[in-house]
Amino acid sequence: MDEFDKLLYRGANQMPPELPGQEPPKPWKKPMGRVCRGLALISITLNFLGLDIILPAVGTVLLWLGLRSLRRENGGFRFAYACATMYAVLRLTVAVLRATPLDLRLAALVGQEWYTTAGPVPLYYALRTVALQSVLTLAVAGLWQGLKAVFRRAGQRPRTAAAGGLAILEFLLIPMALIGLEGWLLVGPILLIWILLVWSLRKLSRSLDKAGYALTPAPVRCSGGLAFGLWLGIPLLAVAVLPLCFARLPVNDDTPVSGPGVRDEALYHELLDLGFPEDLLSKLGDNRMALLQGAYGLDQQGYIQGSGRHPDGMPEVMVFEVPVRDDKYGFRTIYLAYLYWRPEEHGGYMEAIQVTPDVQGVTVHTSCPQGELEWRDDGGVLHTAPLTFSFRSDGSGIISYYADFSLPEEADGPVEGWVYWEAAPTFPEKVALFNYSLRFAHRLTPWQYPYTLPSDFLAANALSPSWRTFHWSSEGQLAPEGSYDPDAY
Amino acid sequence: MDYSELVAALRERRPDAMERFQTAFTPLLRYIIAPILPDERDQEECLSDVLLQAWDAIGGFDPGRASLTTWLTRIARNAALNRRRSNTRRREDGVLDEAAPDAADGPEQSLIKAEDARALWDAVGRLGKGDRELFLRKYYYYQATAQIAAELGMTVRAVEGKLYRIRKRLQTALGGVYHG
Repeated sequence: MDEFDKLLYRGANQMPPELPGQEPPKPWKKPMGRVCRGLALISITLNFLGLDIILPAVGTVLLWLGLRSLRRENGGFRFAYACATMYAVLRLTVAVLRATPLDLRLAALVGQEWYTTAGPVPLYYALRTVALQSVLTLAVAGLWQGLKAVFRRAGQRPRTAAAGGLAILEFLLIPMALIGLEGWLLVGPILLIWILLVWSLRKLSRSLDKAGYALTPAPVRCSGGLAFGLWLGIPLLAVAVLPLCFARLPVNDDTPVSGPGVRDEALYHELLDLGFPEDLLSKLGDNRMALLQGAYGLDQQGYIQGSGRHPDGMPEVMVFEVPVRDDKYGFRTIYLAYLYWRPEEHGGYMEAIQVTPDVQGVTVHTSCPQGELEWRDDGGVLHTAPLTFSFRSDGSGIISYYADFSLPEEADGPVEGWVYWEAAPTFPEKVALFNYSLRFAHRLTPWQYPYTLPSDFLAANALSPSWRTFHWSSEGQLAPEGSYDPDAY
Repeated sequence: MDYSELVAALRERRPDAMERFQTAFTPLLRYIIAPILPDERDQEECLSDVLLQAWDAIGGFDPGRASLTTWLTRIARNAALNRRRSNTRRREDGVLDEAAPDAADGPEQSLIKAEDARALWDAVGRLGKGDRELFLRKYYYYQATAQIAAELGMTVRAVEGKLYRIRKRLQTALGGVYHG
């Protein structure tokens, strides 16, 4: 104790009674305030300005900090602190996972779907919600028991109904989330009860002053501010940075394509006679051209505009409908979509194509589309990358096929693509008309959270300023030779 | 919290008033006394003294000047300091308690010290809320740095650092005014 310290102690004897802050310290106030604010922020969902990420993260840290101070008081608080730690770790893990494709891979690994009243969700998401909410419920239950123990030790009747009610309500949120209950008529009263309970819990710290006043505070190795910064900083940093590492999808660049093989000249001329544009026919390649063997008609829709259009990341599309003779069905139709991305359209990060071969889903048998991207590097070498399609059905059972990809960065010049699928008749009608559609998604920004594949974006029919979508649909015709008339529709 | 009904009951010497008063304030009084008097027997004796003092002095309590908790805190703190002081004086090799007023001070010296104290508390009043709380915990409530750190969720080192900075600011604010 130096001279100045002595003077400060001595000066304190003559402290005026009206000095602000002279109220005695309240050991329960700060930790209980943190716990209540934490619980409130965890449950708030505001879907703008990233608050849906930030507020629960802040809430999680505050809950942890509050319980950290109380953990030495009794076993209930210790349990609550352990649960709050686990909850924070889980939330941190989820936050990091959601910034990466790993989250989607885990969902695919679990595989099955959980059906809520709002629609099916991946089982993985349902399990994750249950895990998080269960741990939070246990933390609140631990808090409840800890508070009860404080009152009991002071020989008083526990006034912890708010904490108990909150624990029960947190538990009830688990089945509610699993069922997918929504709507203000149900959520409104629950929210009101929840707010009242948190408010009552906040006021409880005053009662705690009468139940021993002092608490057994736990020493800490890391100050609250630093702990707050770390707990909050790590997930926010992960959310800010990790998506940039996964901004693009890998391009499965096959070995450079060798020179053209032996062209089926007869078929080539047949297709030319049917009206296939010569420039595209020469790019079609032998394998794709072979699909058109037995062609007896051709319809061409779409356009290739070339330069002069404002870049929007979207390909120009031309779809060829080519009915061909078929041994099994008598006839079938090959759809061949030619896609063309001008060089100035390469600036995007992720693309997706959605093919819905039969929009009504009742008329035709369709095959899973196949496709390739083709481009030339700055040395003029032709490269190709396959487009891998997978299917999923919407709520009404219509099947769509999706391919996710990124345009190659090393492309010097336009990127071209071919997507093709078959339609075969389901019923013995002479002529079947149906609609098919192609949709495209293009991500404009490198950052996104949570990590979303463009196919998921298309499947969800979502809207976002970070994405651009393009929808191209047309009417298709299945007709036997002699009945096929592209001008009839 | 409104204690006007309890204060009225104490003033009217109602039979249950003291028991209610004890239930409501004993935990707080223990909390205030404990850092000043480490010995448990001293704490219990001091607590009894404080309850008795409060019972006797409740007529002079003015809710317009300070809240009941502040008033009680002051009584408890002074009682604990007095007990500590007499304990120190009883010790043969006792060191002078720095919080004790100097009995040898004449009227002039006392006046100077009172002015200095006013200057100090003006400076403390200008501190931020957090710093002021830290200062009061340390120099008014005699709380150990470890207790302050644990209750505020800070490391001991962080509290020491903050207290060091607060002392520097007070020294600067007081300039050469403090005579010691």
